[in-house]
Amino acid sequence: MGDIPVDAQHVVDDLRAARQVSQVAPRSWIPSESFEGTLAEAIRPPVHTNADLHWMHTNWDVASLLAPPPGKGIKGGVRRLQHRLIMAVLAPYFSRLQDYLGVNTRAVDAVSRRVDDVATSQLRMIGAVRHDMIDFAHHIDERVGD
Amino acid sequence: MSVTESRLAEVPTGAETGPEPPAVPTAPPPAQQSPQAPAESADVVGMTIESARAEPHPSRVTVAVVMTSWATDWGERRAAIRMVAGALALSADIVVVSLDDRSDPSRLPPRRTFDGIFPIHSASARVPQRRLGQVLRSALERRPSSSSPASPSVPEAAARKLLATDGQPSSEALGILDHLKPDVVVLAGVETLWMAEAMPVGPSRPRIVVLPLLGTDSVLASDAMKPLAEIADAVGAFSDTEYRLLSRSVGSRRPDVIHHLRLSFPVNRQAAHSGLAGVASFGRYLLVISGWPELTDSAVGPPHDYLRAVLGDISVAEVRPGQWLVTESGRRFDVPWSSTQMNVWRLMAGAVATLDVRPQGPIGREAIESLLFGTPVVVPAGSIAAEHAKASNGGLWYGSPGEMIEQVRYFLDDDSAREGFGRAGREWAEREHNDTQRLVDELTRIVLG
Repeated sequence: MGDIPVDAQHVVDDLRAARQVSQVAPRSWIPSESFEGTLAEAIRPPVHTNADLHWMHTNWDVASLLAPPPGKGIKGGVRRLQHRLIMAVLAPYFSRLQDYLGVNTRAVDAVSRRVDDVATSQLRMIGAVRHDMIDFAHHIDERVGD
Repeated sequence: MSVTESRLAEVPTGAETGPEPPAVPTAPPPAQQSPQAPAESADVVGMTIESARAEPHPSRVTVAVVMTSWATDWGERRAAIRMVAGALALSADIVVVSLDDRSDPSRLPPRRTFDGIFPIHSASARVPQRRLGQVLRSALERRPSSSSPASPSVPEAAARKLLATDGQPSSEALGILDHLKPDVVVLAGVETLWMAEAMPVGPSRPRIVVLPLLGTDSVLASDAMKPLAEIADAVGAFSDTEYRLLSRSVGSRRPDVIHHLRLSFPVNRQAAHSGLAGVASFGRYLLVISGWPELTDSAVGPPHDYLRAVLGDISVAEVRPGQWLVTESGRRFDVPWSSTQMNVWRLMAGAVATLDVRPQGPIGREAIESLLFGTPVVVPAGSIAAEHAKASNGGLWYGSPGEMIEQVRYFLDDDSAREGFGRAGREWAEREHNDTQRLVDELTRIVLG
């Protein structure tokens, strides 16, 4: 393979733009923005690792189910005809449903991010307070020892 | 355990446990010198160590390198300072003055020791308030927004306070320098900046060289740094960002005082090529660095199962605190080998990409080393490592975990792009960070004047 010039900034911008186009439904399952080490100390697992959320992100796209059915012969022809008839009437509904599923998945993801953000902030604050309390206890201990 | 660590375990003298006596520093007698230099010292610049160990020569200048926590700081800041000291040792006599927290009698470093080629003087200093500084920075920093896309910065008033918070004043250190009477004082790290103002003025004042080692910290561009233009003879920056930020503060008064330094990180490609024993059977793997070197700030890396769930079937090798871990679906390998630089290189050399999730430092050392092996990097945005990735076209930088996953996936899915990034990164790293002689020349010029 020859030398292909690469442009890191271009790749970063492209990937970022693809994520920020709000009208496009999630392309694949991506973790919450809130992924942070602090959450590993949480009593409950982060919301973004929830299995149902994972399922939503991997199954929101029903386009393949709405494609014309495969198959040959008379049976296949009849099924394709059925598909055309149904889609002639229900295509706008299915299109709206597809959009709804994408938007719904993004919305749930946004909520889970917010929840993880709040949990992270809380844990960080608790950690800071705990640290201060330990320092304070050491300080008192030293003074009492004097 | 290094010589320094083993010395830390030594029981200090009675004077160490009582009130701190006034420092009476003397040059370490030969009998106190360690017969073995730690491995890190021996390859500091990979050059004429024996010449550096030579007896002080009357015509050689004496350079005092002041830094914090020489014995306990194992991060890239100390690696950079060691490298600087090692390079200078080729043409000067080096003495290290370490500002230490000596309030804990159970962890007292010896007053004087000899770490490889450098005599070390430990001075009692104010306990650093790093956590407070981090909290203040995080709370006060103005984030860039769509309406104000400038780099993040802190208010001027806060910058001065932050510098004071980071500082570790030590009258003992001043006493040691007064006794040593060095020709040059290198102040390495923001904790030592106070000393530039505290050093006596007059004809006996040594040449002052400041290495802030603050990376992308916006404090570098604040007015609080401007006095360095008058009190420092030279200021060294280890990255383009650090240079640019310093140019806005110190450089606005004296642009000639700022110098760009490019550290050199020779890697052992021949030995690393064989890979880490026991990892070959895992096939293609992603290297995740969540904690390295030991005893430095670490992060919790994404769980390996989680990475496989979003990236597909790929093995994951993680350099983390404690025992390293390599996994694939249904199999795990707790790496029994010791956590050494060589073993990190072995993993880097064979990885599809290096994902760094640690808090980032001012050098970006692991990113450079990965690039030297031709392995693309995925690093946090806004870091010096990201600057390397951008300058070299050898990696990508993420602003969020979602971006991180997509960037790693980009390298996993597209072999030709990955090879292109690897090639570009390696060329850049070899050009910019693999020339030890250039580092020696640059340092000699700016430090010795």
